[in-house]
Amino acid sequence: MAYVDTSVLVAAYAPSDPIHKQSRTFLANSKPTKVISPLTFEELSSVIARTEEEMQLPLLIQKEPPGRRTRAVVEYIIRDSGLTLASELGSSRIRIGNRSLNIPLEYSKAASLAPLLKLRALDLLHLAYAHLIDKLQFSVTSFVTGDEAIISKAQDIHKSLEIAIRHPKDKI
Amino acid sequence: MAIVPVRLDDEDLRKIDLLVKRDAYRSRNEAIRRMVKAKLVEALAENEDVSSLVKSLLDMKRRGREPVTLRMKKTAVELVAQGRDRWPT
Repeated sequence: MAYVDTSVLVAAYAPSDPIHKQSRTFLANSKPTKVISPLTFEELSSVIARTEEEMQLPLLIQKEPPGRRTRAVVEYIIRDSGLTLASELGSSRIRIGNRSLNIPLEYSKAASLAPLLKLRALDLLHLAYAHLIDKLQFSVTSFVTGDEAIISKAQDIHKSLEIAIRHPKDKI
Repeated sequence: MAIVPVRLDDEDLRKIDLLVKRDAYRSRNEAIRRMVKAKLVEALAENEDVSSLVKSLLDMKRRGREPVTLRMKKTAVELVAQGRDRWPT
């Protein structure tokens, strides 16, 4: 199974994007099966809401209030691309001073990856999700992204998580 | 704040006591109150039902018309990275 980064999903619906064709072809292939996280769901919603004015949508969607419009487009992209949305992953206990508390598991994993990978917070969270989905829900062997900052760390990521970083143009 | 008497079975109470012992909560009262609050937030979370709209979009696609086209000035990678850069680290 491949974890799909948000950039690939956005590019697949943007004909002028430099990685549009590769993203489209990658998503159109039934293999590998593809998974996204709740973070991808949120991030895709953010991109759709921010670029709404530059979007070409049918009248029946245009007539809807903003909340329903964004939600419908996001759900359409997920279903049209045949993506599985992974569910909540659970929590991890951390001790801060004399208090022990629960934090989302992906946050504690992302925090532990920070010194190893030195990536941005949301990149780390996506990688933590891919790793935890692999351990807890489905087998994830690759992380597909168009983001060069992540691709440039492919070796370190593979060493830490045993997940291959791929560009949508790669044969996966 | 109202007081509501609630019957709990011994097994659940034992688990709550275990969490209190592990310092997850300061007391049984706090544990139950926070669990109820979390469930209420979850149950009342806004979740739009857009299934009929999505079905219409998927039907359009099946008929050969792409219903969602993004025409952005930035690339997808730039747009997503822009959102990530603004994440407060």
